[in-house]
Order: sequence, then C-alpha cells, then structure tokens
Amino acid sequence: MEPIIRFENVHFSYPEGEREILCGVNLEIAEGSFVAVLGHNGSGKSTLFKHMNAILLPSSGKVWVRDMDTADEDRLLDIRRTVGMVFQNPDNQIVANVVEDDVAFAPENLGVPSEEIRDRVDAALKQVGMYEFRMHAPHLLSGGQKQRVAIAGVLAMQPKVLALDEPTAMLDPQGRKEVIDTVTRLCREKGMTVVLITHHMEECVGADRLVVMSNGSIVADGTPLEVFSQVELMEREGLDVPETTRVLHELGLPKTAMDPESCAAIIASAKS
Amino acid sequence: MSDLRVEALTHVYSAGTPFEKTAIQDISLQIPSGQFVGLLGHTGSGKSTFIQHLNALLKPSSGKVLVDGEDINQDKKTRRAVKNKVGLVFQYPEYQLFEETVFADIAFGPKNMGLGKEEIEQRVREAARFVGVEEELFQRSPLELSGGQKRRVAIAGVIAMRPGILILDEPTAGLDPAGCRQILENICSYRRESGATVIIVSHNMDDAARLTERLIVFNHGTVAMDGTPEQVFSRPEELIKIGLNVPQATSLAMALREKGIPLRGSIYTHAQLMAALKEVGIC
Repeated sequence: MEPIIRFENVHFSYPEGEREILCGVNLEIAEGSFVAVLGHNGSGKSTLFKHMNAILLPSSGKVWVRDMDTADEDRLLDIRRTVGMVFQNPDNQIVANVVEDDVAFAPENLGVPSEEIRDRVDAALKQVGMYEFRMHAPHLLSGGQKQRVAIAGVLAMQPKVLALDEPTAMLDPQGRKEVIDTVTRLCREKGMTVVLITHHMEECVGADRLVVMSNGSIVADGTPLEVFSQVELMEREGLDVPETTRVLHELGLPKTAMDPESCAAIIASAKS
Repeated sequence: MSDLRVEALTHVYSAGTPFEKTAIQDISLQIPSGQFVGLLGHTGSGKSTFIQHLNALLKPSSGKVLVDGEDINQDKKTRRAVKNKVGLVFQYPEYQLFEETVFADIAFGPKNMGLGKEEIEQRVREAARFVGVEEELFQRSPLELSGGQKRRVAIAGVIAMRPGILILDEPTAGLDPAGCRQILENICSYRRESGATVIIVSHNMDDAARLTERLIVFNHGTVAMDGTPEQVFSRPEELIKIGLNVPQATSLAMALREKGIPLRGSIYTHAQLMAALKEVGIC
C-alpha cells in the first residue's frame, strides 16, 4: 500500500538554533495503520509531529502527504484537511461554549454546507462517544471528555490521518484510557490512520508499529513487541519497558508476549 | 518536621444549594512527623479537597485539622501561620510562575514570610540546590525554561519556605520518564535532608509503591484503605474494584499465581517479584 505520509531524509533546525532537531529522518506511515512514536523530551518527536501537516517545513529533505509536498503552499489546505492534529492541552483547543458548536467550528470554516455540518458533527461526536454531551458546556467536562471533543472537532473535517501529540499527558488514568481506546477504535473500525506521539510506554502496546526517537533520529522501529524486547536499548534511552518484558528478559525467556496472562504462561511452562 | 492530625473532617461544596455535594466525609487520620505518604484515588475521590484543608485553603464544613497539635482554623492568625508550615505544590505549578527572574520567583514565599535579605538568599540557594536548578539560571526569566525546569523552579518556591509538611499534587504529571525520575529524586532528597513530612498525590502506582512508607486510598470522599504499600498492595482485588490500577509487578504476580505458581508475600516492585520467582526456583 502507498504510504499516506512519507519523510525523506528530513533535517530540521530552527533558523537561529545551532542544534539540529531532526537529523535525517526517513519514515513511511502506511494508510490505516496505528503508529506510536515514543521518545523523551527533546528527542524530536514533537518536531516530527509538526512536520506532518506543514506547521513546520524541513530545512532539507521532503515530507509528502499522499502526493503533496508539504512545502507546496498551494496544497496547504488539502494537506491540513488530510492530516488532522490533536494537541496536549484540551483547554487550548476548545473554542466554543457548547460541545457541538466546538465540533462544528472547523467544517464551518471550511465552508461545508450547513446540513452537512449537522451530519458531520453528529457522526464525529458518536465516534468518540460524546454524542449525549453535545449540548454541554465544554469547561464542565472531564479532561478525557474534553480531549475526545477535541478529537471530534478534528474528525468533523474528515481527515485521513489523525495525529496526536501527547494527547493524554494532562489526563488521569481514566481519561487516558478513554482517549487511547477511542483512537484505537477509530483505527480498527473506521480505517483511520493514527499517529500517536507519547512518552507513556503503556499507550504504545496496542499500536501496529512503534517508532522510538532519540536526539532527532529514529533509533528503533518495529512492532511494539519487537521494540520493547530491546530492553538494553530502551534503558539506554531512558525509556521504560513493560514489567512483563523486563521479567522475561531477566529470566532469559523468549519475549513473545506483553500481557500478564501470556507472560505468566511462558514462565509457568518454563518451570515445568 | 511537623505532625498532622485530622479529626472527623467533612467538606460540603455549595451547601444549601441544589448543587450541594459532599466531597469528603468524616475523615480521621494521623500522619506522624517525617512520614512519606502517598495519596491514591481516582479523579473526584476527594484527594484534592482533602489536601486543600491541610493548609487552610479550604475551611472544613465540620471537623478539625491540627498541625503540631494546634487547630489551624482557630482564627485568622493560625490560618495564616499554617501556610508557612505546610507547603502545598499544586498540579502544574509552573503555570503559577510570574516573577521576572527565577531567583525572584523562588524568593517570593520567604519574602512574604518577612525574612531578611540574607536569609532569603540563603534559602533560595538551598531550595534551588534541592531541585537541581543551577545558579546560572537565577537571572533568567522563568518563562524561558523547559517544562521540567519550570516545574522544579515552582517546587523550589515552596521548599524555600522550609515547610515542615510538604504536599505535592501529582508533581510528575505531564513530564517524560527522565523528568519524572528527577523530580521524585529531588523530593526524596529534600525529605532526607530536612526530615519533613511529605505527602504526595499520585496516579502512578509504581512510583507510589516504590517511594512511600504509607498509602492512603481515597474513594467516594472517604478513606478506603490505609496502610504500608505492602498491606495495600496485598489486596489488589480491592484496588481494582475501586477503579485503580495496581503496580505492573502486582498484576504479573497475580497472573502467575493463577497459573499455579505459589509466589509468597506481597509483591509490588520488580525486585520483590524477581526475589519471589527465585524462591520458587525460577530464575
């Protein structure tokens, strides 16, 4: 399948900055896949994110969204309709006083006819499980609910890619789970391409693919199981691995599972 | 170093209106001087309401809070005095930085305590050292710093008041793993060197298990569990029922026991799990 986003040897540094923030990144994101990007602060993961819909442009190299070069200003609107972004702080992304008005904000600005807006807003709110809150005031919602409204606001633009930069950083465990379950479902059931930037390793476990960034480069790339199995590399990067993987690693057993039940089965069979 | 006693503490928000809500109900507990306590509970369980009573930011609807044996809500004077004894670091404290320089921001608390110039300077240096903020940063604007640095400056501002009780509401929220580790180490070193009582609100069970001596679990405005991490995590089913996670090592230990591996004891850290596995001949 054609990748929906393609990074070709992307370098990036700020005009006045001496340090290179992205150092030659090559990355292809397959349409319909769920890709998690893990890395600590300063690893370049948010800069990578901002290249996905031309918020930032490469200093050298190319970023392609479908067949569109993100540096092509004439295609900017199409690029931003294709890749929708969700940011860390839900409070900074909500503009209206009523949930459904907030979700309607983007399609209104895109000039979508009003009867179609109604359909899009309802559909988007249903997809994130917030339809029954459509008449509520956003500031009275929980963090997880607000973030789901922000996701609905992006879905109402009908993008092909949903890119999220640490969308759960400010949420409690319940809100975190709501957001991760929602984006996972959007990928699995609606075929949405999901790019999730995070520093919580437990949020990557359900992804199709896990990319680890460090100092502006990709240092690991594979299924979550493959990547977490490289325990030494992850430790060197100051990143956590699941306890299950760590235990299997230290016992010298095959690291073929991450959930407690399967991991316990591996240990039990090794004993007998 | 201060001890804390809470007697039958109840707080009702918007009492007498249709929005009346009892946030915490009849909480009694004692925290001896120097103890390291973790407060657990999901959002809305009453944790934040509870901690805001400990330095008189909220007034009890009924019940008492005593610091070093003195009722902190006796009068205006005691309510004011307790703010110097009990330091409260809110969630995302970096949003409260407002001075022009890092130094001035850390100095704000001690200055308001009416301390002399030299004393203030000494306290700022000491607090900055505890949280690993370099003196080179003193004249910079706090707004130019990275997120992790800002957070540490904000915590230093509270530490500079040398509180006998330091309370932190989710001090690691939103930081990356390295930033989390650093903040937690800073808090531990402050506690070690000052002997202060430390109360930390956390959603991270692994941190809570690893660091604290005592865990208090809130649920629906009351204390659902109270004991050492060992005692609390020996009842993982109850924690799960309340809607909390258990440490990863605990869930794996539960799964192993289900598979018939007789692991002994309360398991909530990686080291304990490995030791228990060794005991049954797996290593």
